[in-house]
Amino acid sequence: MRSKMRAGTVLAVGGVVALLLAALAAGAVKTSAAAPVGSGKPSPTKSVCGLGSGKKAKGTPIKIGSIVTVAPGVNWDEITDNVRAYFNCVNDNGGINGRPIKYIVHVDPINPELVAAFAKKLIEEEKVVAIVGTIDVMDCAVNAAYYAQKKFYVIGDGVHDLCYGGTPYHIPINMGPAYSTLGAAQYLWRAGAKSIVAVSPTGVDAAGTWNKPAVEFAKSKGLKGIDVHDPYPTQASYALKYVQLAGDGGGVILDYTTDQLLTVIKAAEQQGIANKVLWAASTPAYDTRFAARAGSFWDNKIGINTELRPFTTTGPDATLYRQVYKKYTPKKWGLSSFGEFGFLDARIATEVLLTLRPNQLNAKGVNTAFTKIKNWKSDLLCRPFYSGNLPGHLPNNWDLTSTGKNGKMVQREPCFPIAPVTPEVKAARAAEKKYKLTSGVSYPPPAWQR
Amino acid sequence: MLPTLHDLVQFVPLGLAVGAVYGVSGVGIVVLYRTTGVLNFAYGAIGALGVFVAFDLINKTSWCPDWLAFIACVLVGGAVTLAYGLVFGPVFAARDPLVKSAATLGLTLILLAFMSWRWPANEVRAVSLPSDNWHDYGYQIGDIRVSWTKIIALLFAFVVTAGTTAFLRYTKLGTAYRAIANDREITATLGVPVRRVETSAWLVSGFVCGASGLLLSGLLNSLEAVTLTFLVISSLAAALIGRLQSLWVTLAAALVIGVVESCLQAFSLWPSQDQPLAQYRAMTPFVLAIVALLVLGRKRELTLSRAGH
Repeated sequence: MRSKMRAGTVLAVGGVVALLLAALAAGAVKTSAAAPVGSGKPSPTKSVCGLGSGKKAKGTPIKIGSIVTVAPGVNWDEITDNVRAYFNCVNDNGGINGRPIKYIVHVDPINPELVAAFAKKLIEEEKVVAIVGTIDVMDCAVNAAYYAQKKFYVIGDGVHDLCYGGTPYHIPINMGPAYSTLGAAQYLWRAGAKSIVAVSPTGVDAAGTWNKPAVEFAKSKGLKGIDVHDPYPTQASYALKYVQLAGDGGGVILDYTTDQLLTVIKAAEQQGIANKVLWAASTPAYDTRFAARAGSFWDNKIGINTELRPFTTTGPDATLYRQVYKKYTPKKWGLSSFGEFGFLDARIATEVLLTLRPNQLNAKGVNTAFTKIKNWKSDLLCRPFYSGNLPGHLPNNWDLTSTGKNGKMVQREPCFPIAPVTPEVKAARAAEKKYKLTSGVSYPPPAWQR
Repeated sequence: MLPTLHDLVQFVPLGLAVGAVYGVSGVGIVVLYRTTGVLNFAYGAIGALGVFVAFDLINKTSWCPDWLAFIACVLVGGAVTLAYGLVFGPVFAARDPLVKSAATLGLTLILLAFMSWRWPANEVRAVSLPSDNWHDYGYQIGDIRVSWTKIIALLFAFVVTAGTTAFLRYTKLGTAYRAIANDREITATLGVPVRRVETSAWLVSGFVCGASGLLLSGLLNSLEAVTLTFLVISSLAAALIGRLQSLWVTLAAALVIGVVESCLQAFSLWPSQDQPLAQYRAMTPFVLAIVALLVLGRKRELTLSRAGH
């Protein structure tokens, strides 16, 4: 009887073990919980969020602020949402040596008085130690003098021309609409366009300067260059207008956000005039949502200037960006250039903060450190990033061209230098050489050398 | 540099299509005004709401076929307009037309706020009509292909205008509409169920509004609450040119507004590249309405003064 019972027990235990093994083999049971996103040991092939400890930061928060333009047709909170996503990942991985980052964002509906008030509020009332991820139509123009007075160096993304070489207090990770349009013009010229029509939106290109470098470039190559400013392109007639302006075999650059761009190109497709010209767009259209919506007709047909390297690669930062996006970014956004901007804004700032001693984690310490960034590398950048003690900044002056194919974004051209058609590009290149900003020892150092 | 005639002509079909939608909306506005005395400023917003609902049904549900979403768009237009008419129609019935019309501005703002909140401009949205993709069956005019959506929009405008004209002239309900337009109180004393007739006007006007929104979304290729809401301005201008009376004049005016607006795009380098005429195209409905009202007003004065002699 007892032996029968023992045999039964053995059989039962054996059965359970067999079932468990089967379940394990089928992947139904995990041997351990998945590692938190952004955790682990950093290496040249693996990027992590901050310390990568996998432990939540619980100390006194470090406040970082930002100003973002959000208005009809201008949805740049995609960038600040991605900055917040990365900071949240950092906070879930040990924060800044145990202290979490508190990210404060003020939304500007395109009102210069508000932009000025927000900067004051962030620095004087909310006592932020840094401003990171700002993307505002007027911040560079409105607040440059105030930032100079307070010695705040904004690591963010520029829009206004002054952000690119016009003030030392903005260190943009992007190259902005004017240079992105220029990059698109260079692509069109290489593709054999006979003319270049550059179109920018009046709502945000209030000064009407975004197309100037592209038109200048076209003229330098002996092509007809036409500068067009239009409101939100609501009607099909806009597409016909651009095609007529460019003429057969000409090139059209649309500096619009994804939805505005789609309005124009779909109208051109429906009217059967899309193949009369070559098409290009500035960086906002480097977005999974564009590829998904454009349709197969536009496969390989539109060169989208991409200010950062593709998020589709297996590079460590591209991989981390996708992981952070998956867990932390609101899904109303896609994977995109704007997402990459936010990710890199936050990542550079975090890496700098992690090099500072606790008594340096104040506005003075952090902003001084921001001016020392040098030869900082990422697989999302064509060239190393830097700040330097310069009168103006244009560190991102190389980009590439992408296009949509089979519902996905694919790279079309390798990285290329932006044509030196403005004094700012020339000055940036000269400073890089003179101060060796893209060579030598990196600051902040790579995470695995920290 | 002036555009060539060849360049200019190609903008005409595009303008006719958009003008046709302005015209359909204008006809809806006129009929409602003639029946209830309400100049409905919320026309664009109601149409936009219908299209956004259709967008959600198509893209955010797995069960809704496209055709059902299109019907829903028209129904939403009817439902919102009807609800407004039922609730506020009787309340404002005895008020001045200016008060009645101003009240619809309130509805416009409420709907606009709701749409901006529910469908913020941070997502790519478009409702594609089947006729947008009948590429092989469109008509080629010059260099451009005129899609079936544009042709349908134009036909729809004529059908709606002709149908409404016939309805007002030959049906009992149409006669009641016209009677109310002439004198609401006398019509009521004659035993016409004024409330019910007005309600039907709200409902029909709403259906037309939903259908206009749907067609417009196909012509614009993108949905954006503010843009769709304020496209009503062109329809209102057309209705004003029609003196809020004539359906055919309203349609004709709308077509002219659409064509002029579209053709102005060709003037992108004239008189100069920095200040081209094209950038003033948004003024088209205002300018045409003012010119038409001045000319019509002058003619009317002349007629009246002749009659006086």
